[in-house]
Amino acid sequence: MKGFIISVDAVIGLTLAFVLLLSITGFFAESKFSSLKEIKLAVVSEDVLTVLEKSEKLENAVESNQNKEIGKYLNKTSKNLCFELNLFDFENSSSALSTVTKNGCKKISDVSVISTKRSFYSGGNNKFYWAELKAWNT
Amino acid sequence: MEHVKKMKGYIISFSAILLLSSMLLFALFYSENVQSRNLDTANIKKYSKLEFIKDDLGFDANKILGTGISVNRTGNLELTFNEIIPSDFNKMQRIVKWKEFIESSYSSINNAEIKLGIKRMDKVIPIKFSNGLVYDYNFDAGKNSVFFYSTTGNTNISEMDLNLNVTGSSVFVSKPLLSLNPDVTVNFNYIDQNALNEKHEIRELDSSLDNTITIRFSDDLSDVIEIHLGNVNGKINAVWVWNKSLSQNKINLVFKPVMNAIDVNSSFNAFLYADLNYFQTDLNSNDLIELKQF
Repeated sequence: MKGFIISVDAVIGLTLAFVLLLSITGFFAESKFSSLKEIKLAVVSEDVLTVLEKSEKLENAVESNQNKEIGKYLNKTSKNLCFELNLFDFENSSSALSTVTKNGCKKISDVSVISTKRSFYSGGNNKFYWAELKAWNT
Repeated sequence: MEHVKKMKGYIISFSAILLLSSMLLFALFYSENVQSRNLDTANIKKYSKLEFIKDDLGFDANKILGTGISVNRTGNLELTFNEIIPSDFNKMQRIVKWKEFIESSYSSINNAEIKLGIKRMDKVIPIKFSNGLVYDYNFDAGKNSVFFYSTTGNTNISEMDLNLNVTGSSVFVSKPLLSLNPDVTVNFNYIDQNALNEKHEIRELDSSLDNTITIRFSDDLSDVIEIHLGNVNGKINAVWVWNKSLSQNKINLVFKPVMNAIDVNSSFNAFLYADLNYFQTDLNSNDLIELKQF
């Protein structure tokens, strides 16, 4: 009887220790994974903004007050990524001049959102602007 | 019997201590590992952001300057500059405005302290190439000019295309004198509103002389576009196009020099000669603004 109790005690103890060990591993593995995910998202956001500026889509959007081309480009990006782009005038950046959200993307409150900003110059308007791209995983 | 019980107690205690210690060590190892990984990812973020900002400002600089530069490096080095040279517009005003914007709003949205050093750009906006070639956009005495030369002495231009499309109407276009010892072939094309003065000529010139082409727009001798090829202001084999005209004459210039024996490394870059200082927490960077990497 005594031996049985000791064995049960040992099994419970080992199970508890194992659960604790798994929790610690799980916790650290999760934090590592999320920071890498954020970096990937930031790098993709930087690339998206760079392409939009270098293809002159940002400049055309502020000069013609049309953001269709930006929307088309965002819709072509990977399905698991969501984007919202806001364009601001540097001289008055209190509210966005224009906002484009990728089709089918809705912000969920508990999802971490990465914000990336890039400036651009409009030769036609002789003014400086900036674009803010908010990105999150679906 | 008592001795065996004590022994059992020792073994259980020892096993428990061993188990807890190994768990503690494991947790510590993991914690350090994660900390170092977090530090690495933070560094990746910082450096990636710095490179992104440099690329952003480099592209903006190209747009603001409006100087198109392209390179062909098959055999000789062939550069092509596309430039608009108005008679009296001061491009430097745009640079000053850009500096203000970078140091205020742009720094603020990037949570960094970014400074643009333009002390060396008083009347001249220099574009420097990594092999010593220089393309200056000058604004002096209310007039614009571009000056292409080498800091190493000779640009080694062997041939060039010089195409000017001018919005004004000229009254006279001079040609450079024929050279006795020519070493540079110039393909000169000139068009303006006066079709009679259109020129399409190939000339062999001596690069050690100051070969001048003058285009006059009225009887006023100062109402001219001057082109100097060869020995200009002590620079050998240089090119200077100066819009001194009095009206709102605009030159659309396409200038394509072909150079021999220029040391072109595998990486060939063009920089705006302005310092970009970037400070964010423990990351400081001080570089010239890279316009292009060829």
